[in-house]
Amino acid sequence: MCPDVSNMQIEKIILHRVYDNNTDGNITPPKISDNFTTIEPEGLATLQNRIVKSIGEDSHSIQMRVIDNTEGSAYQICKSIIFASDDNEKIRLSAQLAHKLARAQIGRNTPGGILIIISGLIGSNNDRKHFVGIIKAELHDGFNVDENQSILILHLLTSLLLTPQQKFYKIGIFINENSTASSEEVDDNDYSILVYDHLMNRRESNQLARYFFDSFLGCDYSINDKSLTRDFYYRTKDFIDVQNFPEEEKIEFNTSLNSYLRNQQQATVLVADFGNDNFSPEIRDNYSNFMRSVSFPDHAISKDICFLENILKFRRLKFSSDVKIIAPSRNFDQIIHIDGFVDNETRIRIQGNIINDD
Amino acid sequence: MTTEAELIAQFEKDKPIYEDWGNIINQEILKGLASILGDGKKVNVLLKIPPTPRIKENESLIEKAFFRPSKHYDDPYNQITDKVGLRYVVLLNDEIKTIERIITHSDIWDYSKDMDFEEEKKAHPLEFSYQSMHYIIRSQEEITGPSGKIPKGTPCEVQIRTLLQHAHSELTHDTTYKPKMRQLPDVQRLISKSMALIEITGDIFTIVDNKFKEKKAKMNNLLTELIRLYSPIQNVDYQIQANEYLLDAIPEKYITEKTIQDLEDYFSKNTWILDRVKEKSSYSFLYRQPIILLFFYLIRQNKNAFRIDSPLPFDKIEPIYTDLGIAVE
Repeated sequence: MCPDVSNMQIEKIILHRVYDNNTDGNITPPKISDNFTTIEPEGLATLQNRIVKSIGEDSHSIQMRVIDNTEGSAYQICKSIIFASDDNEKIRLSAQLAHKLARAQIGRNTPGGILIIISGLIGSNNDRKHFVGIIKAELHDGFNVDENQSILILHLLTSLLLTPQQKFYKIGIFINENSTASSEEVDDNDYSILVYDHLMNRRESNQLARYFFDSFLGCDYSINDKSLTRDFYYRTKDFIDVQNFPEEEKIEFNTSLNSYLRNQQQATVLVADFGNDNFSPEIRDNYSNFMRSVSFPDHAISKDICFLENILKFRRLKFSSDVKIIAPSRNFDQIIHIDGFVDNETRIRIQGNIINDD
Repeated sequence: MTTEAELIAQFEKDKPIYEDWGNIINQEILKGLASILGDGKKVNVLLKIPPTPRIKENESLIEKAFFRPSKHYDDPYNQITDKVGLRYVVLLNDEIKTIERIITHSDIWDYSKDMDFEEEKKAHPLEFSYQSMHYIIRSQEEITGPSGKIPKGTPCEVQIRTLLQHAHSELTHDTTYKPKMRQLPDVQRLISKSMALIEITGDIFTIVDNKFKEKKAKMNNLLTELIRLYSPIQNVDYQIQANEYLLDAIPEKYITEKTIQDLEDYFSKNTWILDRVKEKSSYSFLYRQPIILLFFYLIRQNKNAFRIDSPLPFDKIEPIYTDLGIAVE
């Protein structure tokens, strides 16, 4: 199930302050707000924009599954917030999340920040769903310009948060997809969870993201990632296949697809990323619409190529005359030069000599 | 046999009458055009040269009456019908017909066609020469003008032509009437060539004009549909020009014959968008314009391409992406 994050309506917002770790390992207790905060409509629209930028269609957010559904887990707290009818209860529950985050940060060199907990409705038409969003926003500095003087004056601002700089915030969002069921009937399988943390995209940093999605949110990568990665490969190939591209372009796109999946640094797979890197805007739209039509997720997937390992190792070119060329993918571009197509003929140069003829 | 002096004496006496007759005809035609076009201002746009009655020069009358090798008049003064003339110059061939319609539907004059370039084309399909519509208009009854009585049957020549035809006629005016010059084969050839080109250009102008009209009709229909779809949102003052301007600036590839139908389908399936638009209309100019709905639809179908082709800068349309749940870098 691919969560629909259109039409986000934020109803309640509460902020708590979580501090940097003490050097002695003790927790500085979070500063807890005792009421919801208010925000003007334009501010609300900006907040919505920041959230959608992180977890919306084409974002690098990853859909996760609940691995901790015990009492006091983030999942249980979020579920209780969704079903709580009393505002004070919602406020009390949100404070539990702040304490939970402070604990999850123990022993790590992790900056504090503002924990923003929002609740509201999401999704289109009659199919609107309750959600709870949890944003950990780190404070950073910047300037404000005062234009009311004869000269322009810069003012340093030291507690900026939620600027468009996405590396300064992490988001987890719990969406109750089973909108008609009661609190007792709903379980963790009914929840779609999207997590955004810029650290998750690169192989070298994705372990650093663990404290947020695992220790704090009690979530982990989906078990479907292997098959989704495989589906990504085949669906994208299907798309390239049916396009009106010249053959040599199709081969180039297949080469790009192969390298995209074999790229060791990249920890995620995202339709929008592959589209942006390879296609013109129009084709990108067709590609995105095609992938949506086959229900392929429009957010990132944690890349796992174990079902594709053998496929990706070699490129197999098949010709109309039954000739086949099998070549290693890793340096395909260097050893196979396709010079062009003339009538019913393909001009290919292959590096190396024939050493065997079975 | 009339003498030159007699001819001119008669003409001098009649000139004010002819001028009156020209003015009356001109007023009638302008009045007719205003009523067809629905607006007096549009008449000034249609007519590329302001029409005023022109009285023939005395010398020109004498030349035509007595010295034109191709013409022989028994009663030159009465047989020469262009002693007063009016000329209407328009841009397009079709606009000539609009003026003809007024000339051929008058209660105060009778008309005869003196020259019809459409008929000339049929009669001489291989020839490319002077093109214009010439009508001789004669008063049906005696009319009292400011300078006296205009006798029944007083003629006036009315020419109707396009700007292109007019340009050609300006170039060739002398040669049309001087046989010797006209007979120079290289001149003849050049003039024919230019008229052929003018005829083609005129046809192309008409095609272009039709395309404009087609596009305008398509855009008007689309805007009407957008306003209809937007109508459940009450108490919102939209600016029609802003909508027209934005619609015009959207590249044509995004608007097809199917767009109106597709919009209807899309918004009947996505009723939430209207609620969203209503909510934001209180503080956003763009959300107060019916065209916002077209933006929602186009962005949903073409999120990448439209971002580049949008007539508005990206920060203005970004809230639409956000409402649709689309993340943008």
